[in-house]
Formats: sequence, structure tokens, C-alpha cells
Amino acid sequence: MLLCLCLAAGAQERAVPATRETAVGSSLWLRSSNSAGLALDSLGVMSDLSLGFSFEQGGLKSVWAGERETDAGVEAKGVAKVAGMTLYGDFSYDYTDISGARYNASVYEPAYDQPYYVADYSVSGWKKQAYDMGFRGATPLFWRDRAAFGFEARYKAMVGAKQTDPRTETFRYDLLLAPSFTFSFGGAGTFGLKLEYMHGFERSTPSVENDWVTPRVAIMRGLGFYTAGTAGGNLGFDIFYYKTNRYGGSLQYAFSSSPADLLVDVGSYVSTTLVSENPEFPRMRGRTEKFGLTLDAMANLGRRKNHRVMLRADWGSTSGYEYNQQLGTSQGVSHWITINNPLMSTYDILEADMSYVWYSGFDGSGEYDFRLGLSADMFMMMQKYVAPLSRFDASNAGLRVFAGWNIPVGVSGRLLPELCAGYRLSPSGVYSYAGTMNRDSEIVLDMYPSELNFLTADRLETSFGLTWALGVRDKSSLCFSLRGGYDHSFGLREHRLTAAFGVAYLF
Amino acid sequence: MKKTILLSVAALGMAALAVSCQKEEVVPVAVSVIVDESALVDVPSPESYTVSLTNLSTAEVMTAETENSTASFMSVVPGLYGVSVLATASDGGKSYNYSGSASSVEISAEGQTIKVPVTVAESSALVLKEIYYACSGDYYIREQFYEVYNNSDATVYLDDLCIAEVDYYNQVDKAPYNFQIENPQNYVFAGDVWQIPGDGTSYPLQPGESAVIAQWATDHSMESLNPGSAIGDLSSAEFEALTGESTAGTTVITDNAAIDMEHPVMAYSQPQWLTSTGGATMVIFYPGHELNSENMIAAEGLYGGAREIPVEWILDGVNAVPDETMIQYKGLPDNIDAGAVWTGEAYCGKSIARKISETRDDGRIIYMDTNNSSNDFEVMDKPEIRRNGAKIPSWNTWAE
Repeated sequence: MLLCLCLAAGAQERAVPATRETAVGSSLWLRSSNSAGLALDSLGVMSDLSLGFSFEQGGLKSVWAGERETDAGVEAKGVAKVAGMTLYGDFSYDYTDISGARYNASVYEPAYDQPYYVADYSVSGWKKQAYDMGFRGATPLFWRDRAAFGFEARYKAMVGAKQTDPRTETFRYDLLLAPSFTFSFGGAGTFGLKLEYMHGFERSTPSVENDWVTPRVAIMRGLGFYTAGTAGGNLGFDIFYYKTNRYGGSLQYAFSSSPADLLVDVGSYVSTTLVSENPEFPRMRGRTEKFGLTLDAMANLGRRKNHRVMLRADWGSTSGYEYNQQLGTSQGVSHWITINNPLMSTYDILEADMSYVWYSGFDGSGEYDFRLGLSADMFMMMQKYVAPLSRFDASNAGLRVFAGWNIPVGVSGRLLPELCAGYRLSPSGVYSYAGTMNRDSEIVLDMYPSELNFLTADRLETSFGLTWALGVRDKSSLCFSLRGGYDHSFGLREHRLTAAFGVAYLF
Repeated sequence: MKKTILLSVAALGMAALAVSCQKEEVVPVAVSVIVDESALVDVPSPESYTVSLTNLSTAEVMTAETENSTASFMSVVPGLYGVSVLATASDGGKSYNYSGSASSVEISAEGQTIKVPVTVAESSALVLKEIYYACSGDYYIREQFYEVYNNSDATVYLDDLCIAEVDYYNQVDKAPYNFQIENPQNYVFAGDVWQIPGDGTSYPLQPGESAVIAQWATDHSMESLNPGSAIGDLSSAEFEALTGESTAGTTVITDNAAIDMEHPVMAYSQPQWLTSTGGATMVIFYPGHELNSENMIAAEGLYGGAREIPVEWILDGVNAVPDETMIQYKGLPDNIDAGAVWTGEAYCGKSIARKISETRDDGRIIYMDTNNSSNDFEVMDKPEIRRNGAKIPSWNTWAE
């Protein structure tokens, strides 16, 4: 149904990459988290269908990332108007082949604020597939064109398979439901309210193909603290479950005037993830509780709205609780009884990015001649293991300048070259482990120091892109794009090379 | 309008602050372990005790020595702990092992004191000197052996000595067995018990001699068996855990020169004695009465049940566990073995062997026996019978 929605829409004017880019950029509510606001955007109808292939290689990476990663994907998205309602749908499928990843034997996507997972010591490949589909809808404006309701539903299913012992097959899904509402006070602006509920589930099933070797694993608890374990056989670690419930809400305020369109989206959420092992004889492995704040601000400035500013920030504070459990054997039935579950670790992460773009030659159709911009981002993380006190702190910030051209080729063709260069600096980073056990372990001596090196490596970041758009029929374009990137850390003497090729049909 | 926005942002900020302030991080506490020596009568007191706190969730271990019978731990993360107290002392030519333990102690309060009574036992004359349970080759399972050593200054008779692997953990349910018997903590349980025959004085073992109990006392390196066998020839073993020749699949289990043992307890009939290749927790003991397989003690998930063996019968025991994660599921009480040892993998061809404590003037070796296999044993890359020159008993006429 989503695909039908994506493909059902048809643009009224020729869809070319530049107009699509600026149209989406002008649609502040589409970029916000509030679906009801779609009714306020002047979106028209549009659809994209794209195929992509990307490749990454190099040692400038997180320990969990692959030395080499290839990804093939297909994506469709579109906006349509049906019976006065504004509908948006998207669907994507990605197949990722990873080789040379380390220290993850349990989860689809390790995260800094999820300390309860299983790490192993093999260099391994992963094969992953992700299906992501989302739907957003907004009612027509009602109550003197002042109010609208909206709704968003998103379902993402992921499967991953680790390719060397200990093997893991992991299945995960995230289901998001988010009703929303907007109300306009007239010329002063529009307020929005969005509520959201997300349920996440992941099941990681381990196995061992070579029975001759018992792989060692580390059942992680954060910052290098772990319980040693094995994989395979009756004694190996069992199926891990991650169950997440997240509740959130956000407020939006949008203001539109001749020299400026502005939207601010401030939200917060709380989530709890329970991590347990062995479905037949459940044992808690940990619990994380997260509180987060989000800020999204975007503005299109100038009489022609050709100056565009965006600021986004996400702060999350996560607490990691461990479980002390005792085996209870009352009435002949064995089960784990929780004695206490102390708060043993905390994870505070702030991620922010901002950008400014100036469009030259921006005309009423949404096309431009040239764009020039600056973008910056920062990452700051503070991890703490409470007792014995250990720390893993890292921060970095990057600044880039980018430029792009939109060059007409023939009657309906376009050539869009773009260049980007920047530098990332890390002001600080430290890893200190105060545990009495496992001081000489690979986890403490290699994994965490390697990750710290990656996060704190100063590096040069460059990329280029070239898109060639061909007019097809009256209103559609067929686009071929080629992108490349090269990041290099002189300190680490490591690099990361990226390349991507894509075909997109805009209509 | 701006006020409204500011108020909203402020409210969210305050909520964030409130959540941050609500975090109650764990606070380590100081704990004292007091060794209760009231049960020690007419025996010397050791200079100090080694006290260990083992976090049963994380397997982290903290140790401290006692001063005036009290061990102080200044920074203990609240949780569930096992407490063990160990010491050794010698007096008048005798060696004494002191031990005490407390299981599943919840440590939660600052200044908490834990009182642990200790008991004493003379060091066992007979000790398990080397155990080879892991096996080697292509899942070859018949080359296990258990070596018993006379660690004392006096002759010991092996007649009636029993050896058994302790059943304590259900590997399918991943939980300890729940034996249906009153005071299960007073026993260990075994589905199979093998016993050395004799009339009471048939098999003397002199100080410094050892007796090898083989699962099958043959040359395992034969082409038809396990050419790459880690142990090779076991035909010089004193005993084999057989009651006669039998056939297992296509393999004829030959009856060899080694003395056949008796098999008074068997949970179910099986052609061979196979202990866990992943980790076999073993005990040796003299039974207080005749053993049989009647009225075996049942436990959910344990086919055929198991025979209860009173802890006071046990001469020596070794917690050989599959790996370090099993340290919280040891099969023996702490006064038998407060530690654990593991080879790490099945079929790895490794063995566990007792460490040397001292070598006497006459060359006789005394092995460590502190009732803590973590201290007393080491993992050997290759098994070896009669390691360190252990002598063969005179009645073994078939050993070269």
C-alpha cells in the first residue's frame, strides 16, 4: 500500500533534483516530527524511486563497523493528496554485507548507550537486511482552517547474521506510532503537539558451527566490565532479548513571514530497555533507562527564502542497571529471583549538527544555479561505571564547507557537481578502567582504546558528488549519481574511503 | 507567544534536570568478615585466613587477609556474594586445612559484618593428583583417567575407595539440580560410583605412590582408536572402570591387565564410564556403608536419579567446571573445594594437575592441598600419568 502511495503521486512540473531538494527544504513541517503539519506545507505531489549501491573501506572506523562494507538498497517515497488529506509514504530495503567487524556477537546495531550485549574476539562478517516503511498523514485543515490532525506509523524490521563462530542470527523490529495535532492562532504562528510510542524488540540467537572450538565471549556490562562466557553447546550463552518501550512528546512552533519561515521542534522522551537471556529460564542481563531531549530548528530566510539554516541536537542520558539474581528453587521449580538491580553505569551523549546553505539564482520554480554552505556537527559522550569508578569520555566536532552547482544540459537535462571539504577535531578523550578483573583482557586493552582512538582522531573529511539528470516524458527525470568520499586521519594513519552509485526516478 | 515557547523549553529542561537528579547510583560499602573459630578445639590456629568474596552475578573476586580474625573490605559493590574462608597450618608433623563459607550473602549495608564459622580437617592422605577428562582427537571419549596420590607419610589402603563424578547442574535447563532430599547441602550426588575392590589390605599405597584409574586401560594411540591421542598408552594403569569386556558400537572394550573396578551405583546401564569432557567435578571417598543403586534420589531433569554421598565421607574433591562462567555453580561445598579449575574446552587434550607444595629430602613430593582447586591445580597442555616421578605401587606387576 505504501509503495502504491509512493508511486501514485505525480509531479505537476518537471521534477529535477534541484527543485526536489529545495521543495523538501521549504517544507518545514515535513522535516519536523509532526505529521499534522503536512497539511500546512505547500508540498504538491512528488515521488522518488531510487536504487543505490554504496561501498566503504578503511580502518578509520568504529570497532563494530566493518573494514569493508557494501550496501545495496532500493527506496521509494512520495507525497500525495487524497480527498483533501496529505499523505506521505516511504519504503526502503537495504542489504548490507560487512566484513572485518569486531566485538559484537549479539545485536544488529551496537550502541554506546546499550552496554548489555555480547562481544566476541573474532574478526567477523555480518550480512544484514533492513525493511523500513513509514506512513504519515494529515487531515485537511478544519476549524476555520486553523487545525489539523496527523498520524505517523513506522515499522522497521531488521535481520542480521554473523558469519563466523560464534554465529548469531538476530531479528529486530521497531514499531512507532505518533499522533499529532497542529493549531494556528492566526497570523502569529502555528503550534503543534506530537505524542509518540515506540516498541522495539530484538532476539539474538547464537550458534556455533565448528563444535571443535568453544568460542570465548564477553557478556558486557559497560566500560570494559564483563562476565566471561562461551558460545555453543549447552553451556554457551543463550538467546538474548531486548525489549524497548519508548514514550515521547514534542512541541512545535512555526512562524511564517515574508523574510523568514521558521520552525522549532522541541521534544523529550523516556525509554526503558529490558535485556534478558534464555527464554525457558529467563535471567535478566540488564536494564537501561533513557531520558532524551531533542531540538530541531530550521529556518528559510530572505525574501526568496534562499538562505536556509538548520540546527538539530539530541541529548540522551542513559542509566544502566545490573541485576543481582539468586536461583530460587521453591516448590521444585528453579527460577531467578532478583535481589537488587543497582544503577551501575551512566551514558550521557550529546549529538548536534547545524548547517547553513545559500542558494544563488533561486527562482520561483525552485531551481538554483549554485549553492554554498557550511555545516558543523559535534559529538560529546560521557560514560561512567560507578564502582569501581571508570570512565570513557570522548568528544569531537567537525566543520565543513560545501558547494554545488546546478548546470542545465540541453533542454531538460541537468548536471549537478558538488564538493565538500572539512576537518574534524577532538578536544578530549579518556578511557580509564578501574576494575580488578580482566585488566589484561582484549576488551580493556584493545576494544575500548581502539574506539577511543576512532572517536578522538582528528581527520580530514572530503567528498564529491556528481548527478546527471535526464528529462523523461513531460514531468519526470531520471538521475544517475556518483559520489565519493575520503577521510584521513594523519594521527592514526588510517583512512576511510566511500563510494556510491545510484539511479533515481523523480516524478 | 515567545513566553509560551520559553516556558515549554524551560519545562522540558526542568524535567531533564529532575530525571538526572533522581539517579541513585550504587554506593560501595565497607564490609567486615569475622572468622568464627569457636568450633576449633585442640588444634592450632592459623596465623591468618584468606577471605574471598565472590560476586555471584559477575564472578568478580575480592580477597583479603584477616587481622585478629577479621578481614576488612573497604569498597564492595552491593550484591549477592559467596564468602569463603581458608587457611592452612602445620603442627607436630600434621597438616591442617581450615575452611568456612557462607553462600548467597546479600551485601547491601555500609559496615555490614558477616560471621563465618570455620572447621578444620587434617589434610587428606589421598588426593586427586591429576585428572584428564577433556579427551582429544575426533570426539574420542575413552582415554580419561584419574590419578590418586598418597600425599601423607603413612601407608594408605585403596581397598573400597570410591570415585565418582558429581551431578549438580542440569545443562539443558541451565540450573543446578534440585534434589528431593532433606538437607541437600549435606550431600553431593552421583549417578555412577566406581569402587576399588579388595579385602581391606589388598592395595596398599605407600607415601609418594600413585594409582591411576583409567576409564579403559589400553593403548589409545592405536590406529583403530585415537592415533593422535594426547595420553597414548594407559595400559600400565592400576585400575580400569570396567566390569568386564564389552562392545560399544564397533569398538570392543577389552578387559586389560589393570584391575577391574566394581560399579555399585549406576543410574542406568551403560557400557562405559564417561565423565563430562567439558568439566568433571570428581570426588574420592570411603563409603560409610555398602552402596547400591536402590532408591536413588530424584531431581528434575536427571535421568535415573543419583546416589547421595554425605560430605563427611569425602577425602578429596575437585570442582572441574567447563569454564569461568560456571564458578557460581560449583558442585562441591567450599570445605571440600572452595575454588574451581577448568581446561576451557572439551577434546582439547589438556589435563588438570595438582601443584607441588614441597619436595622432601628423600625426593618425595608433597602436593598442595588447601581445598581450593583455584590455588592447588594448574592446567597442563598434555596429560601425563605419574607426573613428577610418582611411584608405581609394588603390586602393579604389569606396568613396565
